[in-house]
Amino acid sequence: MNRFNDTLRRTSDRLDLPQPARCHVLLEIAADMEDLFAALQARGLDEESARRQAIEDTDLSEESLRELTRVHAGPVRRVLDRLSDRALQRWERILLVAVVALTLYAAGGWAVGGQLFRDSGPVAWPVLAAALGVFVTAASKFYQLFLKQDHAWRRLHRGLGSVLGLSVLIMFLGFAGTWLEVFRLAGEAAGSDQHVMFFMMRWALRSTALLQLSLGLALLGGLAWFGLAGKVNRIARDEAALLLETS
Amino acid sequence: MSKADVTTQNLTRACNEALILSALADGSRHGYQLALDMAERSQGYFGFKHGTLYPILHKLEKDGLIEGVWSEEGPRGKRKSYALTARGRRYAQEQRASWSAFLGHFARAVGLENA
Repeated sequence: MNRFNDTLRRTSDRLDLPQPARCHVLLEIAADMEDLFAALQARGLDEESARRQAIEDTDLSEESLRELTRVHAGPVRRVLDRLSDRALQRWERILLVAVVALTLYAAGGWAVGGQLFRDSGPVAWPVLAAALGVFVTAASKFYQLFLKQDHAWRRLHRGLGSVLGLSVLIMFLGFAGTWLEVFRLAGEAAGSDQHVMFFMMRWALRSTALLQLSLGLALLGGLAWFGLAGKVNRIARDEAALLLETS
Repeated sequence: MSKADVTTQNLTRACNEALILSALADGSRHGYQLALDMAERSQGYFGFKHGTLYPILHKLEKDGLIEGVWSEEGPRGKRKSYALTARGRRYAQEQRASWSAFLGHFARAVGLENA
């Protein structure tokens, strides 16, 4: 294990930079630490003193960290950095609510008023609620990854599993709704003198619509999870590779 | 006013830039070498902590005044060294002239000329 691994890991946690800039900075610091360590040892310092001195000399102060972030920040990040943490959180919430409201207005009206939704039956409502959950989580992760460029992978990982979990729930609701329809229509058919074929057709129509809706939304949620998780894993892998490289 | 001008408002930045650019005028250097070089040239007067150096180097690199190149240096592994670009060389010359004017005015203003 590298003599500076703990320091590098701590620096990595404090370094609020997007990838690959973060890895490049860490690699540079690691190389300089090693060289400085060797130079200090050549000057006669013992191993432990040289190690401590190298860590102290290459340590990034809070001001240096802020400066580095400013240098590597994209235009969106530069604007966001002008806001205080509290103001930023407030604006992020407002932005998220605005995006959700706009999407609900544009797509929700179309979906709820559409033939597919009307044919899907009452189970379509929990399906849509779960899809909204997927959308909100995926949108906030997308913002964090690509606009805010906050590439702290531990923070990014938090809650990402719920995108997949909710997508699976949507799929489950689709299948469960299909079964529920069988029992509901069978009950209706038992007490009716209408032809059984009529109930069969109603079940087929409702089930197809519900499965189309739920499987379509689950697929979209799954794809969103796949894309986001892939990006987050790449960030985590780059960081791990860097620490291995410097070991 | 050009970016290379030295004024009381940008004194710290201009000083850091001048020290780094003059150290790089002799050839490419690694980050840690730059810090040691500057301390040596100024006989320890301008001692840079390496951690302070990175934001300045990265800013100069972003501005196209210096160029950072990664190279594999045998068992030592990957190292990043910095060198002046043509633009950086021109900038350093302009800044040198600006420093000379600034120090001349300063010396006159505080009566160092006759000291």
